[in-house]
This record gives sequence, C-alpha cells and structure tokens, in this order.
Amino acid sequence: MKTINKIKQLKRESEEPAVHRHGLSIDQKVKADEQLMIAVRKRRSQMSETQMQYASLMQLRFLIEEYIKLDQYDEKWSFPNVLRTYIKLKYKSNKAFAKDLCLDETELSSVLNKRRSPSDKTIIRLELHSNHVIPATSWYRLLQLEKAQVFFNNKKIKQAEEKNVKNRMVVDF
Amino acid sequence: MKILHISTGEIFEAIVENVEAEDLKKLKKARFGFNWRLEKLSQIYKLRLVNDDEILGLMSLDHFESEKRIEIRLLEICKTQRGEQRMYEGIAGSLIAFACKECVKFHGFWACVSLIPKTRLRQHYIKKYGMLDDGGKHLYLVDRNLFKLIADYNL
Repeated sequence: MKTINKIKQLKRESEEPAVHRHGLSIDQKVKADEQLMIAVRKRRSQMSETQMQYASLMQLRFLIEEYIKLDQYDEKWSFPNVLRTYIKLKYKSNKAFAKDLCLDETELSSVLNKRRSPSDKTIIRLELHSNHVIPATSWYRLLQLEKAQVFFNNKKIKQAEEKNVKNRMVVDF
Repeated sequence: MKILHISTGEIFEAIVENVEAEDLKKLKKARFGFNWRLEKLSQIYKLRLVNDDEILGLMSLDHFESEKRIEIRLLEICKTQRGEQRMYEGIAGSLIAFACKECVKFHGFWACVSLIPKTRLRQHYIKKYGMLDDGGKHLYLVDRNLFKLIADYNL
C-alpha cells in the first residue's frame, strides 16, 4: 500500500509544475513573508564566520565570472581591485596575506598599485589559496581584459611602433 | 550547468538565460500550461540545452532587495519533460540553483531564496532540494543548504 502511494505521489510530482503562483491575498502574503523573515533572520544569526567567508568567496567568484562573460573592461574589476576585495575577505593587512602566499610585501604592493603585473606563480598561488574556487584562468582573464583596454588602446605606443612595421597586409579590394 | 539524459545516462550542458518577448510569443499551450505573459513584470528565465533552442523549463523571480531575498514566483517544466516520457532529469533543480546563484551575486552570505509550493508538494521540495520550512507558507534556502544546491547543480 505504501509503495502504491509513493508511486502515485511521484507520478503527481513529475506531472505538475514545480511552483504555482501563490494565490494568496495581499494580507496573507504580507503575513507569510513576515513569518518567513523571522525564520530566515534566525538562521542568518547562526551563521559562523567561516560560512560567511565561504559565501563571500562564492559571491566574488560569481561576479568575476559574470564580468568575464561580458568581455568589456571595467576599472572596478581590474586585477588590483579584485585582488584587494579578495584579500579583505580574510585578512586585515596585506602583510599577512603576502606572508601566506610567500610573496614579497613590496611585490604585492606593486601589483596592487598597478606598478607591475602579477607573476604566473602568484596567479597559481591565488588559485591554490582560494581552494580552487577562483581558478587561475579567471585571474588571467581579468588581467587580459585590463591589458587589452589599457595597453593596446594606448595611442602613444601605437604611434611609436608605426615606424617599425613595413609591407602591411592589404585590406581593400 | 548539467542535466542528465535519463535513458543514456549522458550528461548534457544546459544554460539559463533571460526570456525575451519573442520567446513568450512562441510558447505553445501544448508545452507550457501557464500563461507566462502574466509574469512580464517579474524577471523570467528559461533553461535550454547549450546546443538546442528548445525551452525545457521556465521560472519567474521576484527580488525583495530589502529582505535580501529572491522569491521563485512560478516554475514550470515543459510538459514533454514531465512524467514517465521525460528525457531529462534536473531541470527544476537547475533553475532553483540558478536562482540561488543570482541571489548570492547580490547578497553574498545573506542570500535567501524562497517559494510557496502546493501544500502536498512541500515534503518533496524539502527532501529533494534541502529546503527549509518556515512553519507558514514558504519554503526557503539559506546558508549551507543554499550553497549545497548550487554545488549539486555544478554552478
């Protein structure tokens, strides 16, 4: 009997849409939402520091992925800015972060202040430090987008290189 | 995200995208029972295979920013993908997990996704998706359960 009921239930579940419009009156909906928020607030208050850190890391990962997908440079998402945000998830000082990644503090400072690009090793260490949540490829893409915008759109560099290029490809019929 | 082809056990790459006005015009009663045009004021998403335009599932979301919460207003799986004749498993789960991901993007650790299911289906959602019961009308996902669902559906 139990099995038959179970089969009937499963059949019903797979035949129906998952969620219907709630069909509540405005008052009923307001009350339902209030009750929900009481339960949610209680759960939220029980979250540990580690859980919050993990959630923030995942948030950063999703936002990086979204930015990369857009494929348009935005200063807000430059490598140094994202790295700063990343560091703040866990550290109060850059020094402690540099120590955990065996990076020279001045090297980290140079990267954060856009005086130099991060080395390949640094990028690999970033992936390892995030426990692979933010892969090295994502950090690379951040750099690439920045480079494409800032470096290759630099008119001065282009003008300086004009004299070094001869026998250009034909681009007209 | 990935969904399972039931008969072969093959995993297919799926994608969730915004629904365009054109999509709504093309929806057929034979495939979707709800009038999705009524959801126009909410954000509507569709799930399809990466290499196929056919819509397998639809979901509309309301964003309650002050509560840091996204509510799944309506979620419907294509009629051909329900019951014994269905080809794929994981359409509803993938859509719910997508809503969770969107909420995390906005609200990080405060993220909360909720829905109001039919009474008789409450236990199903609790068991299958790890949803929590608020003791009232809503089921919801927060913290561990929310992130577990995101991980389960490879997002």
